[in-house]
Amino acid sequence: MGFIRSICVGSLSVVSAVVLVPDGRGLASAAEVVHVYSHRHYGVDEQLNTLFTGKTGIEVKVVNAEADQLIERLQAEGESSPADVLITVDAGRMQRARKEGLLQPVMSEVLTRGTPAELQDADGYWYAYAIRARVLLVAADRVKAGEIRDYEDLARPEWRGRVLVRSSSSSYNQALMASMVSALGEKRALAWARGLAANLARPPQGGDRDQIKACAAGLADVCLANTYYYGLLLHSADPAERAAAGKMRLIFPNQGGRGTHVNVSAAGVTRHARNVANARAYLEFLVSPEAQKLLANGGQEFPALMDLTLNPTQEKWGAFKVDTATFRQMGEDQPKAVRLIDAAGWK
Amino acid sequence: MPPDGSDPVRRQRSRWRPALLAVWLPALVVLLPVLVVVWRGLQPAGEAWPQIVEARLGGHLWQSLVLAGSVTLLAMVFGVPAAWQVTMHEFPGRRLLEWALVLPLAMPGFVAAMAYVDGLESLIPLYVRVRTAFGLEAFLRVQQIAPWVFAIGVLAATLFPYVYLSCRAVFEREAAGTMEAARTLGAGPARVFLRVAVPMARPAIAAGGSLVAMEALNDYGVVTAFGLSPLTPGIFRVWTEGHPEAAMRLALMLTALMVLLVGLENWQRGRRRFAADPGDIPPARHRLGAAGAARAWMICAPPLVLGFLIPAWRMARWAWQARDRTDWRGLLDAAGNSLLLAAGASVLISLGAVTLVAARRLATGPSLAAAQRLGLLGYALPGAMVAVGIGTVVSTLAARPGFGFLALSVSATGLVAAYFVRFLAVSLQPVGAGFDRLSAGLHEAARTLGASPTRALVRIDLPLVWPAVLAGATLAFIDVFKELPMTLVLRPFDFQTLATETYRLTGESRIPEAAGPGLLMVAISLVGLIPLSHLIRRRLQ
Repeated sequence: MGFIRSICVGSLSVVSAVVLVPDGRGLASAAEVVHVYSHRHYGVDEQLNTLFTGKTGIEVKVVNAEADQLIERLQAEGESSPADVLITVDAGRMQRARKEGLLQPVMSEVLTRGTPAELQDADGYWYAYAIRARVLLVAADRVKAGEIRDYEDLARPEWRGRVLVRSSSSSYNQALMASMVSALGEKRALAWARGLAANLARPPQGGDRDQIKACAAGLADVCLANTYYYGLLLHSADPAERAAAGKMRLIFPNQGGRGTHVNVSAAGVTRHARNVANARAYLEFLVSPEAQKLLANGGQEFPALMDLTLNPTQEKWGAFKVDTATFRQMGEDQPKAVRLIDAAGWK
Repeated sequence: MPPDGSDPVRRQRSRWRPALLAVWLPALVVLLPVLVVVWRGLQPAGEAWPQIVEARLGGHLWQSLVLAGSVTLLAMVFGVPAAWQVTMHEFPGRRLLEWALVLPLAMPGFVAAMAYVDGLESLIPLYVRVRTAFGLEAFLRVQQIAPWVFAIGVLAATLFPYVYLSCRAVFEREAAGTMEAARTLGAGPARVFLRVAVPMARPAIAAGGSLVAMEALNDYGVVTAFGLSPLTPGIFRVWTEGHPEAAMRLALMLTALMVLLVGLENWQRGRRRFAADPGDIPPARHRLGAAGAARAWMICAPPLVLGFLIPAWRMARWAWQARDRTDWRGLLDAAGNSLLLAAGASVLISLGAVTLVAARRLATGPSLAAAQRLGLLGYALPGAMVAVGIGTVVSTLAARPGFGFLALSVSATGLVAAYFVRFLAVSLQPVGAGFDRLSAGLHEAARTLGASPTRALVRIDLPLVWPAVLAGATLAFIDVFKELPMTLVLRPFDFQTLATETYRLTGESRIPEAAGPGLLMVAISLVGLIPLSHLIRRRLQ
């Protein structure tokens, strides 16, 4: 009997431990801490946070999740949210977070001067601190210079069976499609997505890195990828990955026109932040020269002010024209983009 | 005899009527997501729905059907002949193969998929040759087919043990006499297999095959790894895009497929119950010569190699290579979360199963049998449906003032409830069987000696069925431990399990780092699986 009872008691305590996963973060708002809700979980982020704590003594506590979930959670938590800072890798998501009233403006000269005016919120609700461009990578031995220049070219019939891109469920592709919608209009953007889907060498699978490697191996001649993936492959510890990246050539698209589509790693202070001063210090730290150098070299993202001298690899790629015209529209056009991608049959 | 002289049976029933509600509780929890999904699925789904119907539905449906069909077929090709070889023949290594063929059950499909995903890449030179030799159209066709070949292969190679176990059980019990007869009449081994073994095992093949088909329809990790989009990932995608009603309609379609499958299995089985006397004739294994033994190995080894050895070997190598890059603390955290969740859920599931089954000792009535049948339903419910149903219930509750602690992002309540719904049946079956084997006379004797029904249950019945309860709990533990899609969508924030961690790292193409958590999952599942393989076999019968 005693045996059964102890089993029952034991099991109930296990159950209650499981059902009520201790949150722990909400209550402990010790003096020197900043709570960050972040979509990013790259290795360089940990280095950044350690560096920040070392310099300021402020502890960084991070909660990782997809941007949409983070926004949803901020909404649900309202005033009781423990978050001080929201970080995503998509300006569209930041625009949405501002629209939903989840952020508060921060007025800081360090920040306004630390990031380009076109890539920050006009009223200081969020600031970009690193930039990634969505570019074309072509097989250097099979694609001649000038054979492909623009995103629009990817839909041309001569590229049938020669293009690789990851799934349309990726936010990178949705943001690119949003910029196509705002540059070309719905009808032409749809036709473009149809053409692109028809030109794919294989049904979308894997991430940006996989597209680059598959191109290098000869499966296709051109692929879409974010610049830092290419940079990371060039600097990979794996010699095979370095060799693959070495076979590719980078093309910044649409240089004769509106410029290359970029997105940003961006941070904003949450509406109900309890540690506003620490949050602000954290944002300012992210655009400091030291942090920028780490971001450029560790994560291979472009520094906020596009100072290419920070990273020799990026310096070699050279300066390029950024599409700032469609940038501000990104959040608004995203739902339309998702609908059109579906209609185009881009899986 | 009661002093007022009333009928004791009637008194017992009236006394236990209020408790009926408590007994029904586990069944109601299982029913809840179904009701929610049906109710919400019938509501207007907004403008998203026609768009989904036009752009995606057809693709989701045919992909689901092709996938379930081909995986089941291939699992039968892997499982039936292997079962035949190890039960009917004696050859060097037979005993080893007999239990090793169960090992793939410890290898979750999405973990095995990780070991094959890079196969798509290493085959590129071959694809390029196809393009130069046969032209662009042939190349594109090969590209369409390749992910299917991989996904179907991985799923079949990890799921075939369901067919293998059910067939082995039948062959062991029934085949000896029949086969001797067929041999005496001059039939060769191939003829005996096709004309005697396969027809004899048809109900068992149908039972194992329907489990395989269900798992294939429920799969999320393998199909997404290879870029396919059948219904299950389709439901989750629509759900995360913020169209719950549309997701529920898709979930209802998937459930309809499952129901169709169960119906198909019942029809296949028909009245063909197992007819021979079980256990009377010990299987006399036919000793094979060198050629026969080689053939037996060639039949049994491939599924084992594909479904377990290759993935395990590759993962072990990757885990070793990535040992410096591995985030050990994160891995330990994830392992702790997995263990805690699986332990907590399996305790709850066992309590539910015991309540449902033991109730029949305490009271009678047709509603109790119905409750038990409802409890069994959960296993046929698609994980995607349970996830969206429970997700909706929990978010609705959490939106009420004072219930915020329930929110999916903060607590595991919803996740544990989903596990309960989906895996109650897993524990219910062994517990039910345990009680069925137990003579009701013992319980009656205790009652005659003056024990109350509850006391008799706790003092007499429970200690005797304890092993069955424990077995059921272990089965549920393993299933929860390996579960991926429901965990992905219902888990609290910033909360990783071994399954979600493996999936996340695989998704980020960080395969060597994903090998650590994957391997740990396989190892822990193995510990539970080996002593349980005979029990699973019983569950299949």
